[in-house]
Amino acid sequence: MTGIRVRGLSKGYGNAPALQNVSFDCPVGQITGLVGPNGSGKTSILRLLSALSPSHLGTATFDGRRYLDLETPGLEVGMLLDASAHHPGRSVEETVRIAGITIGLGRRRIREVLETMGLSAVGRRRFGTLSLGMKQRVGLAIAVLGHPRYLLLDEPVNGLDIEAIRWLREFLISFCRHDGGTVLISSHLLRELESYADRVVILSRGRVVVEESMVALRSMGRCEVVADDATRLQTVLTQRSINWSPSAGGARTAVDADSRMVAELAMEHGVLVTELVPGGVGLLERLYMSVASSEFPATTGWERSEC
Amino acid sequence: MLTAQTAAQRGFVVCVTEIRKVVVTRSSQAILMSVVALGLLISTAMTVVASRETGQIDLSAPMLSLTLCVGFGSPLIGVLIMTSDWQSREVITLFLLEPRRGLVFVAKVVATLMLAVSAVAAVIFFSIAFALCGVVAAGMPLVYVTALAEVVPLLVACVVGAITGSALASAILSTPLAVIAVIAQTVLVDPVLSAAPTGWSSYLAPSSISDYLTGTGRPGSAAAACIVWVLVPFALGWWRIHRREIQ
Repeated sequence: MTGIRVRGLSKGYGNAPALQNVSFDCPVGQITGLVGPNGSGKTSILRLLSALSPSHLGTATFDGRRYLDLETPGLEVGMLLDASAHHPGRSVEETVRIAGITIGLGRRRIREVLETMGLSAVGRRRFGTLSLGMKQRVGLAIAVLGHPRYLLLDEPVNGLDIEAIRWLREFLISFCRHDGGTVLISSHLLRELESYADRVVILSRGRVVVEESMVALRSMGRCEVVADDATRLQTVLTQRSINWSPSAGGARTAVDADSRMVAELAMEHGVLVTELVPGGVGLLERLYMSVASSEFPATTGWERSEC
Repeated sequence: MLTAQTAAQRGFVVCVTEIRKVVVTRSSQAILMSVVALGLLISTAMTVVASRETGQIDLSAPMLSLTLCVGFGSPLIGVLIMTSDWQSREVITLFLLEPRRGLVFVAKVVATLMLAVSAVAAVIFFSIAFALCGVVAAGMPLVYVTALAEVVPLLVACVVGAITGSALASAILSTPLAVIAVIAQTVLVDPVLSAAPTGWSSYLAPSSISDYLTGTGRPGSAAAACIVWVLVPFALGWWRIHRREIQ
C-alpha cells in the first residue's frame, strides 16, 4: 500500500505556471495537510489528482493506480473540492441520493449519511437555499458516502460551525487511526490543522517548499513552556547556555531546545512545568510564514490615495 | 483500465442517474410539465374539433397534436441532459464520481434516446386514452387506421430531434445558448431550408434525416444533414468535453 503518491506534477494556465515539478507522498493511515498561500497550487493538485484537469505532466496515483483507472472512483476516493458544485434546484436528499446512485449505493446508506451529517432535517430543502456551512456538510456527506479509503478535502472547514468542525476533526482522526484511511486536506486554518495532521506539505508559488511529518517538525529543537516559577526556569536555561525568549506577552517561555530536555531540566531543578508544547504554539504558522510567499500579498494597512 | 463489461455497467448506472436528474430537477420538471400541459391542451382542442367535423373520433388527431409538442420538446430533453451539469457546476461532482468523460458522454446520449422513446410511448398512451375518453363521452365510433401509420414517423422525429438537440448542446455546452440554437433550428433553419427549391438546401435541412428514415427522403441529403447536424457537433462536443478544465 503506497497511499497517495504525487510525482513531478507540472501544470500551467496559459503562460502562467501553476505547479512546477510537485512531488510528495500521503502515507496510508495518516492525515497530510496541504497548506500554502492563495494561488500556490493547492486546489490545482487536488484537481489533477481527481482528473478534473485533463492535461499536465507528472503522475498522481492511489496505491499505484491513477484516479481514471479505479473501477468506481467514488467508492475508493471521497472528495470535497467545491461545496456549491450541485444543482441549486434539487433537494438535499435528492442531491445525495443521485451521488449515491452514481456509485451504486442504496437508500439505507444515503439515509445513514444524511443522519450522521445532521442533514435529515433539511433533506427536502433546495440545495440553493442552504448556507455555506450546510453546503459543506452536503459535500462531506457525498465524500464519505461510499466508505472510501482515501479522502481529498479542499478547505472543508470553511463555513462549518464549531460542532461540525469538531465532528470533522474526530472523524478524520478515527478514519486514519482506526480504519487505516488516508487523508489529504488543504486548509488555511493552520492551528486547527496542526492539532490533527500527521504530515504537512507547504506550497509556495507552485512548488513544494516543505514536506515533513509533524513529529519531525516538533522535534526541531524548539518548544514553549509555562512554568510555575518562570524566572527560575529562565535562569537555569541561561546557565546552561540555552537560548530562550518570552512569548505570549511573557506568559510563556519559548526555548530553543528539545521539549524532553527542557522537561528533564525543569524536573532536575524542582520547577513545576504546567504546560509544555513541543515545537511551540503556532509551530505551523511560524514555519509557513518563514517559507511561503504569496503571489498576491495583502498590504499591511489601508493606503490613502493621493488626490 | 476498465473491462468492457465494467464500462458497460458504469455507463448504465450513469445513464440511469441522468434520467433521474431530469425527472427530479425543478427546471427540467417545469419544461416537461409545460410540454405535457401544452400537448394535452392542443390534443383536447384538436380531438373535439375533428370529431365535430367528421362525426367520429380519429386517434390520429390527439396523436398528431402530441407529436407536435413532443417533437418540439425532445431536442430540449437532449439539451438539458447534455448541458445542465455544466450550467450548475454540478459537472464537478459528476466527474469526481465518474471521471471517464467518454463514458459519461455516451451515457448522456443513451439517456436522451431512452427519454425520447419514453416520450413517444407516453404520446401513444395518452392519445389512446384521449380517444377512448372521447368515444365514451360522445358515443362516437373510433377510427385508428391512419394513426397506426403515424407511429413510426413519430418515433423517428422524436429520436432524431433528441439526438440533434444533444449533439448541438454537446458542442455549445451552455443551456441557454443550446436552447436558442435548437429552437432556431426547429422553427427557422429547418422550415426555411425545407421550403427552398430542391437543390443544395435539402442537404442541410435537419428534417432530411427524418424524411429518409420514414421513406420519403433521399439518402444523400440525409447523410449530409446527419454530418452537419449530428456528427460534426458530436465530434466537437466530444473534443471539448475531453479537453475542458472542470471548474
